[in-house]
Amino acid sequence: MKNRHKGRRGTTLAELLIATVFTAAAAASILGATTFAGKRSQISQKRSIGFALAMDSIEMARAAAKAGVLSAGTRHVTISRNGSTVTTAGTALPSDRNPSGISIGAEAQLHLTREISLEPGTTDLYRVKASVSWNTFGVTTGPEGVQIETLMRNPCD
Amino acid sequence: MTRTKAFTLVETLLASTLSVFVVGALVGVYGFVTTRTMHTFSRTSVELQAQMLARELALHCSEATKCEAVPGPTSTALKCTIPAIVIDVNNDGELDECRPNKIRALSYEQYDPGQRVWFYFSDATGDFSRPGTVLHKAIRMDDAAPTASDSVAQWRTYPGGSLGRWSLVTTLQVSVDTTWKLATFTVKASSLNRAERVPAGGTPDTEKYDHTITRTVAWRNSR
Repeated sequence: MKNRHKGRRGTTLAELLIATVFTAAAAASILGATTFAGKRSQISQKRSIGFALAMDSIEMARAAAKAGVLSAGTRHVTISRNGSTVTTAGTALPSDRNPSGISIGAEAQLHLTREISLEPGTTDLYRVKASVSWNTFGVTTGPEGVQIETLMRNPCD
Repeated sequence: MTRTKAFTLVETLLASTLSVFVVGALVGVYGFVTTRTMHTFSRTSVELQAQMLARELALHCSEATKCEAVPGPTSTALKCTIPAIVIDVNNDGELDECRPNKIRALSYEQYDPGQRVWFYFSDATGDFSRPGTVLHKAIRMDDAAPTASDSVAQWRTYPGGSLGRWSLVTTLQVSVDTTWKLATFTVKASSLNRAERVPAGGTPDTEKYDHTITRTVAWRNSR
């Protein structure tokens, strides 16, 4: 009985408090990581929607090229209020359609810009560039976006 | 007897109180993280199914000689007529590249019609005339509506089982602009379109994720 207690001591209050602080810090970091993952998931969703918008814009230009009516110009499209508001400006192609069925959240905004320009030294080869940007709700600074660029012959075969 | 020092009653009570708070907070954090992780998996699954289906539809539309929106008992079906000559260029089992049947005057390619690939909702049999919530892909060599035997089982279910591969997809809407040869389709997937999310005798999970993708694709091989 005498030897069993010799040299043993309990945990002090200071040690317990330090352990508590460490545990709280670990829990806070887990919470932060979970929140961050959720935000990145939202961005991933917007990226896929933005990519689809840019691709659609290219496809409409391709349809115009196939019919031989592709022309140089820039078109701007802004989508907001969960896709219910679509405003357009600039030069539209006859094959252009306004985007629909876009679910991006009430507070989000997507901007699509499509630039079509004649390649220097050619008469029928066009460069088509579609860029989509959106706001990111403070996850990162500045807007994020995707950009697709391709060449098309007018009329294409 | 060697002098030993134990906790005082105050120290023990304080430590117990702190431990209760810490353990309570940890259990709360664990529960929160577990729930959020499950919802993240759920959201990812919804997005993946919608994106995978949209990608496959876009591939078929872009290679088609003609796309059609065919009214069905549940919703409008997408019918893509694929060129007759399609080649698996990299030998991976997928038909990748369409080739023209002949070159006409002015160097225009001519693509003869080949497979008719359908995407539609039906019941488990795959018969196009029957309403249902199972997404099917069917292949025919003529323009008749697909029957149960035309539905591709390997596409409809996961390999080696009967579990539906597109169980989260709830809506497929299709429209076609024949003037500009553009096919527009909307795919919607929902996390609540899944039986296991509604426990027997329990309250269904009210936090759901929907993902909608709308694509417009020009079909290229229309000559």
